[in-house]
Amino acid sequence: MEPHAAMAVWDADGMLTIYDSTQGPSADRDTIAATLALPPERVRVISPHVGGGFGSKGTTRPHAILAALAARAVGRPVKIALTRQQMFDVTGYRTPTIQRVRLGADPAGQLTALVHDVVEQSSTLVEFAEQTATPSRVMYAAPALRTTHRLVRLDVPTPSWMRAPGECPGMFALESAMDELAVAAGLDPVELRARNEPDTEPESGLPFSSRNLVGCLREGARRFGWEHRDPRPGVRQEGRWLIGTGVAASTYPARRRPSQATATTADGGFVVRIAAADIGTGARTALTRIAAQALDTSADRVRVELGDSALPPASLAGGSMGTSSWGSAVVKACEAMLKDGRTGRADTTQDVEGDSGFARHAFGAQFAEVRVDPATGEIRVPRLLGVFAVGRVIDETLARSQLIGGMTMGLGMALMEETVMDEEAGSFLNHDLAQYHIAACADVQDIDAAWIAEEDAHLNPMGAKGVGEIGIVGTAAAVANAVYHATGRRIRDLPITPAKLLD
Amino acid sequence: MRPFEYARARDADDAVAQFRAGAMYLGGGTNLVDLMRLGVAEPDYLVDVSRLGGDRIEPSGDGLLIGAAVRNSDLAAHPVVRERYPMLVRAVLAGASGQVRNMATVGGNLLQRTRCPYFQDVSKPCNKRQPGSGCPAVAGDHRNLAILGHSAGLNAAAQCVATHPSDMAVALAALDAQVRVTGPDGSRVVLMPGLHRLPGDEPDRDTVLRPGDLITAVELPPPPPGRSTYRKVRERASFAFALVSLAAALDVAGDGTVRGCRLALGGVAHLPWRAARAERALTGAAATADEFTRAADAELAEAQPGWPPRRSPSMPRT
Repeated sequence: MEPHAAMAVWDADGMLTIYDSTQGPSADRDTIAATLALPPERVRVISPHVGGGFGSKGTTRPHAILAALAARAVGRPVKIALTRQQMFDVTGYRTPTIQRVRLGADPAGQLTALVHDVVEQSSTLVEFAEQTATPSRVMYAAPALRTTHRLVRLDVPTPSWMRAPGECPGMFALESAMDELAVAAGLDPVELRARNEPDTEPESGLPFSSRNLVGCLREGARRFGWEHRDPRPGVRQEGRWLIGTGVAASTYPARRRPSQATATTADGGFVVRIAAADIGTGARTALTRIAAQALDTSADRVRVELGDSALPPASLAGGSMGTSSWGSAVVKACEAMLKDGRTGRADTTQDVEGDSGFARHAFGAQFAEVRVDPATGEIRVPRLLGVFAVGRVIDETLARSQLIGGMTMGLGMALMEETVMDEEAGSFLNHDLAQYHIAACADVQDIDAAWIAEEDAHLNPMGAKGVGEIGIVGTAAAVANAVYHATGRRIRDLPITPAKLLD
Repeated sequence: MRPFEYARARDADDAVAQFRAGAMYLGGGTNLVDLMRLGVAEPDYLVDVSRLGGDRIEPSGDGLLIGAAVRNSDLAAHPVVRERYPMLVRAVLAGASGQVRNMATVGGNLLQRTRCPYFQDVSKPCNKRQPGSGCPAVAGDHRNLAILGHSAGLNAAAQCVATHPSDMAVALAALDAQVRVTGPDGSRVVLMPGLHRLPGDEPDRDTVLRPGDLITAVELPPPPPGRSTYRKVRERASFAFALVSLAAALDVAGDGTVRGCRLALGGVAHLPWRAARAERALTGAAATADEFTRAADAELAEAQPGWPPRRSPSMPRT
């Protein structure tokens, strides 16, 4: 959506103001200041509205530095907006991964071993390691569990965060493998997962702060009409279409990072200030609601100021930690203000450091129905359903938007998204939205997201888990599993394009 | 984008008179402006031909005369076109998006350039864009490029495996459309699919048009008998070019034999590919799946994807 863009202005006193498109004004300010060898207080980043980030605006990108340098050189404000084509090379991408999953289970489908090996790339400049196999440390009880990551440095641009880094590619492999195990064991795939529910987090042994994967699977199965599913692949046909359904689990960590906030009475209402970022998620709305609840007042009496590094420093909009991090600070600031009567300030660093002793994750179940044309290999997805357990939902409209947005992105990941690198030039060939295909309106038919009630007292004052990323995590596997069910063909290489089905 | 001058022509003769070296005609701009932004096209003079009055559709004998400035969406919505030429309507509606179709003209649609990613990237060599510089698609990613009639077998300075992206052109090729052209040397008619060329050893020339030539109209003969349709295969349901497409008209007799057919393929060649071999194989044959397969095999016998497929990654055993 909005490309990476920045406008830099130096004032007569050498103070730099940068209007940047960023997922974190505080971190952006710190990086820009350090890069230009300026004290942080001489740099201000203003970013009130961001047209999407998805991870690529979580770190400062070259355009911001270039704008600052150019503005200093010419003595006038300078704006740089990257073209879509330029974005592909300089604003990060999700590394390709090659993954191997080995599952051992007894005849009842109880896992005895889970091995998840990953090979992925970074650049020769910077080591970026996608945390691909980490969800395998969380999902299922297996007495023998091993994950490995091997990273190779190539002459390529440096990969970066892209919606649900780690969990997204890793769960495609794990949840496809679980589907294969269900077939091998003659078990319903929902039942297989229910049988492998762990009591504690498999890798660490920590208790879960809350975990309702099985509840999501059961509720999703009910809503999706899973009960009467014939598990045999390739037997359901309507006209020229083969039809299949698939299920996959999803997960995403539910953590928070330190942030600061202030709350003050003003003009008969309240003003809350925090250098959070609204990257299209509706953070403003969510924080307004959180503050209003903490102040026991109506939302129209609360104004939230964010998107400015001059405000109390805050963590990034990323890692599904925005609302949880900022909300914690906002609640604490509001409580402090109520005590004081006029103003309150909060810093959650100590609170966050005390967040140990629990494994905190959101879980969900993803269901997909696909139609496949066996003559052409075309795949269409008439139904997508996600049921999630994400603690307390702050705003239903915003949460649903994030969940189906993630699912839509997962649909693109499954069926059409692929950057092609020209090996001669080392650059991306299909570097615009005409050639890099994402799911568009005509591709998304019946799509729905729902959540089950979940109480969790060990998260943050709101009892909320992040919802921004979990929607993408299980979708590609659900679609791939449905393609198997429709055709009997197991495709383990994304995207699942028509050519792969005709091979 | 290089700075350019812009002028509106009063009529076709005026447009041709204004044409000069460095000039290009501008219809809806839905491809040309993109190419100018990419630096692929660098005209210094644009002659706007979208308002010459060539935006009408009128009967012509038993056929139809379509002005070159007719917008794609208007063409697809026209009641006579919808009733008599459903193949053309489906082809037009399969292309682009509603917003693009509202702006794109018939003439411009015919003359749109290939979407080969190497052609569109001025940092890459390209024999079409810069003759003699090479064709990186042959050794690179050519999965969506030509399998018929290409010149990958030529020397490196002449190779080209580009495809023509237009859906409308495929239907016009199947319908035996006639393209009316006027230019510095007068007026003539070009029969589809002959407007477009095979790359041969001049990949920079997409069509048989000469500099200054202006398409003024497309004339459709009466539609072929029987049923007709356009089928476009792609991995995304909209706003994507064809992996392959087919314009087909089939006239089947009461006894199940094919009296006549028209078949044209899109997404497989430098031009809309009239499948003449398949048409011959099918005419007089039974209208069955086996015969269709035989006809398709006959047409594709000379298809040459030809080059090593992209390597599939494999996991090192540890």
